[in-house]
Amino acid sequence: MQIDSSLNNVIVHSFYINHHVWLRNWLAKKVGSTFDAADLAQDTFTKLLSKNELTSIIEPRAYITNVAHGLMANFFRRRDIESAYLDALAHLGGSDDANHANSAETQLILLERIIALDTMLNGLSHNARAAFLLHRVDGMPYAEIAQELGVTVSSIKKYIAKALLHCATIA
Amino acid sequence: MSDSLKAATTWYAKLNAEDVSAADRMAFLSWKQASEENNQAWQKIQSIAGQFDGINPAISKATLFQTSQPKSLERRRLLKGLGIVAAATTTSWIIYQQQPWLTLTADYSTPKGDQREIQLADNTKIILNTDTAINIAYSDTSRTVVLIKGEVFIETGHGEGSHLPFIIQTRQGNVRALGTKFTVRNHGDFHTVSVYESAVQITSASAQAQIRVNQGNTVTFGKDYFSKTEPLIAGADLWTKGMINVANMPLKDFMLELRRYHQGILRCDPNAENILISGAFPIKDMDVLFASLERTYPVRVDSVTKYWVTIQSN
Repeated sequence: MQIDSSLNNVIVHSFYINHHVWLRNWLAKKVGSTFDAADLAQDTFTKLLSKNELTSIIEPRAYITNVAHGLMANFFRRRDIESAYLDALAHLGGSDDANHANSAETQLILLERIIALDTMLNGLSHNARAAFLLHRVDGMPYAEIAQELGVTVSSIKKYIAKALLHCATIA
Repeated sequence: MSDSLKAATTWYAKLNAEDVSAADRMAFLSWKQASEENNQAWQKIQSIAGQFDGINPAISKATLFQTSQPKSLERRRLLKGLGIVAAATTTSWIIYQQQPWLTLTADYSTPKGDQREIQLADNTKIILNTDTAINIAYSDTSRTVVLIKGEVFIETGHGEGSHLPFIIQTRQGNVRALGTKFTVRNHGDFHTVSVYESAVQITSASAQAQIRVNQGNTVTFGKDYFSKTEPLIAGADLWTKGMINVANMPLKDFMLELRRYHQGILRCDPNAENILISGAFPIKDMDVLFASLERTYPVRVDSVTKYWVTIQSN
């Protein structure tokens, strides 16, 4: 179904004028930062441009907040990963010289990589995710993974296949 | 296309196993060479797997592992422990995990390991425990608080608006305060209510059933059942002071509780599972708690990172 982009532009423009400030304030309360709120608000309106149903919306604020919710979920997940990552780096810093010597830029590149991997893994069950990571990142033999997760080796094979299929379908 | 992809993932899993045989490898080569589609599918799988190379395992554990524990285990164990007779419905856990936006946009919430105290306009005091989210829906007909997830301690206030009924709304029913101190904890498919002062009245969501719970008692309710009313265990509300109190609790059950407060993966070796734990433990500082466990019990706490902790027997 073709999106009538000129009509969408007009509608989103009007949404922006009427609701942009309100949205920014609302987001600021949820994410705790006016800076991030401004970014998220912009992303929200950009996303609206690609939506199909704009002409049939009766309650704009409810619809806009729905769209914003999805973006906020990503935002919070990203923030969680970032803080866990920095914490892990700090914890490892003393013991692992290679990590300690990494420049801020290298660390940021790795963080972006981790976030991309996390997005790819999103939606997998806890076990499938853990099985695949323990296999590929930790190099753990299947028998050991099976023991860790409390399942059979045959389950581990299925989890690993499932994880790859999930990633392949998304990527 | 997707058949090849599916086959490729199965081959990957097979080839990387310890029990892969020469025959397997031959069969794989046959499959791969059988069509261009198969070959491409294999390249794609290899490329995806390769994206995970070179990541430090400790960092992977801290960031890429989900922190939530399979809920079905926890629920079954808790139900058994509470002596629930009626079978809970087997509908899926309609909790924040399936609607994450509810938590993100809650009026007040706490992350794992944190607690928070708030006071509302009518002087009602609410303490949010770890991993909790609530919405405030005060109106001119009621003072309603929606418990989305987690656990709250309520001390109803007598300020402005306190003539209106105070209600905690949950998926399985409403808890109405009759001027009081009480806690409500969301376990997903059911809730537990403990009353410390005065009384509450619980109305379950589906049935018209009601039950009154007096001070010193605790009860569990689901959509259409109530458990027996039981006396409170001493120190059940210690969490509001940053401690948890247990008496002869197997370590494996103690871990379930700790996981509510601990960010990351918390594991217990099978040979340590049945060690009985008693005492009061601080929940605001996990390091202190683990040190205390090590001092008092024959266990060793192994923290690969702050997020990946294993408890083993000594």
